[in-house]
Amino acid sequence: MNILETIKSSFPGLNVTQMGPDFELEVSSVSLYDVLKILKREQGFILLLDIIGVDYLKCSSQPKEKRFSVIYHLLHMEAHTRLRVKVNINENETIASIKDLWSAATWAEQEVAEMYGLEFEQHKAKKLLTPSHLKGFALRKDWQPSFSSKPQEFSNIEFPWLADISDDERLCRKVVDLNPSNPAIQGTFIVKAEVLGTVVKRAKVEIGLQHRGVEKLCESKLFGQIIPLAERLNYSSPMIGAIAWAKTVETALGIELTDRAQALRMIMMELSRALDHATCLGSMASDLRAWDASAIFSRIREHISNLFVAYHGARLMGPSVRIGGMIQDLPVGWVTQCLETINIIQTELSEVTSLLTRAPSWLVFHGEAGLSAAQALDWGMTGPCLRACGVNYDLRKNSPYYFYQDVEFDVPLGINGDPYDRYLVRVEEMLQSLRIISQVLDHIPSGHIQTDDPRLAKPTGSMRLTSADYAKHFDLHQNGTPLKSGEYYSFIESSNGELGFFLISDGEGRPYRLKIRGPSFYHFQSFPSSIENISLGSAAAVLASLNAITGEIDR
Amino acid sequence: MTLSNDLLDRLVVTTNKNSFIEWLDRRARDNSPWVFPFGLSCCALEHTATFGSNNLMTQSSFSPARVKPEDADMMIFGGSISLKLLPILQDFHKRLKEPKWVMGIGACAASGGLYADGYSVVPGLNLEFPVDVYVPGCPPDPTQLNHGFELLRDRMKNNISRWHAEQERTV
Repeated sequence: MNILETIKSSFPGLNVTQMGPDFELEVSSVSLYDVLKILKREQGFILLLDIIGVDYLKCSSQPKEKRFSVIYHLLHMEAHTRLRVKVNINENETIASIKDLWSAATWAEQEVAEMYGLEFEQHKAKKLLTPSHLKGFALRKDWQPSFSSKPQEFSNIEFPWLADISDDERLCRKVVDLNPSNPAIQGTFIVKAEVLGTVVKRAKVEIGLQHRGVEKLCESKLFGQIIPLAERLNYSSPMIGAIAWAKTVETALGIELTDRAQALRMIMMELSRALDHATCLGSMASDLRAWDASAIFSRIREHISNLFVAYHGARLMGPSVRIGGMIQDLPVGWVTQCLETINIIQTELSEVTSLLTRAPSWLVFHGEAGLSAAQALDWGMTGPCLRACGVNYDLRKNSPYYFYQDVEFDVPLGINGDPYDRYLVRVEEMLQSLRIISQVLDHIPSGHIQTDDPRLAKPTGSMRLTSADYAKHFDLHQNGTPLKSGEYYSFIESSNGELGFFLISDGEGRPYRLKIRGPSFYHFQSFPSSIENISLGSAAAVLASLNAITGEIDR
Repeated sequence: MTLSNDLLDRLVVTTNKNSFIEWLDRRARDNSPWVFPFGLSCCALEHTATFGSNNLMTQSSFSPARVKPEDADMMIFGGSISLKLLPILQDFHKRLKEPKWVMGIGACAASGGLYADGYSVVPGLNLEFPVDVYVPGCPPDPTQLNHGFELLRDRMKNNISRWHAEQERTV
């Protein structure tokens, strides 16, 4: 029996529809909690991917009785299907909180509440991302930026005294501040930890310091103009974000890419993945004073950056991804350079593993602050952090896109979910990425790198352009490519996990609503609770191994 | 042999305490300025790449990697200035050693960059602080950063800073 029928049979009164590969289920706000509970406990939708708020005020294509919707995005990890549970509500209604079903819902619900002014039960109205003096709810369609006269204050996190802490202990505990002046390496958030000796007892984090309002910005941009914004989400693996966004629009429009473009994208994504892992491990090594290892990782970064420079002229953020393909073909000699670099990186990786893997100072983190698979799923983790807990889930294997089903690669798994296992998984994934690249380079297809679909391409071919061509050209630049109204979701296995774009279109060339599911947002949520009762040094290792990217967390 | 007054004058320079310390301070700063790096996102990566690579700043007997703002001669800021970050940044700028040289790297620090239209971003570092050198780029690559750095060191040698100029204007 397939998923659709099981859902239908267990909820006979509810309306289930199939939207592309995904399902949608509409429920009332009263029955929401129970429906989600059954879906999680009995139907196998064990991972909460995202909670999305939508404001339908100005949506012309889907007139609604109620203004807002909250969409719960669930993943079935055996059938590889996604289910969206949709609740329609008005401004003054409250929704049940699902914090006790999934811990991952905590920040996600808080974000919806903050951005739309919706109320969840058992939630304090605390701002997560936006500054405290911002008035109103930023993602509502009728919102105009306005600020209260009292400016943003220096945010101060305080720990209340609990009754079970004895007086003696009170005196010994002190608060350690890990603020963003710790430079560059880790990202921008404030972590405050209350320590007893060197053991962390409680920790709190403050995010939103890099909140740039990307989702709001995207609503006023054409699909093609969003590529640079998507690229800067996870800045340590830039191409993956851009490709993930381009893939979203392409699947929504129903455009088939040329073989060569798909192969190029795979190469670029795997290079980016290796780059990202090298950045993460390099900063982890330098945080833990393994300077020589960190120097090797930064050398690996240099090698990959050089490949990007040779390909499109920029070290990090490139101009090469377009909707409908790539803009630049591989330059002459690039393939040889790439193969040589793969060789070099492999040697350097074996050097670095010989330095680190058996080093006593590195083995300290073995078994420290481990997460079980159940906990990781509870926190909504995906990607290497989930695989380090032993869950064999890789979107490249499970729901393959491009040519991932045709290449051979293994999915490395850890056992304990601790920093040490994450390190092992990342190193092995780098090697597997190199393996994928060399296979693709061996069989790289010939042909065009851009699709010639008339909805995207400018008129070319004839020497003289007619006025109709000019008109079309102008229209394409002014209004973009119109997308049929509806809801689209597309995902990619980014270097941190599932990077998804949920796009609601109103029939225009701009998204009506775009929700970005950044994997780091969910990883980082687990951080304060996972460092309780471990030493400060290990806490630094946990933070580094989570690879929390501020661009994805704050957006 | 007796020391004539004339010889003494030629060997010894008399000066007052403050100007001597200032002279010493400046000489020390010229040779190895201490940097307080405050890079946030993409720019931070290039910034670390600059510090990590072998051809650049690190060679000229440079500052340690982690410096408190109180000890730093200059601040390098890269990334968008969100409104939530602003009070923290102001605090750091207050704590910098005078005359507070500031180098802004990347488009976001210069003008808000891609996010200038956003509701929670300050479009430009210069709206809040006097900035000495901008390094354009999104993100700028290490050679550009190095060039910006040389410009700033020139200013340091001549003791020119934007902060001074603004102080004088307000007085």
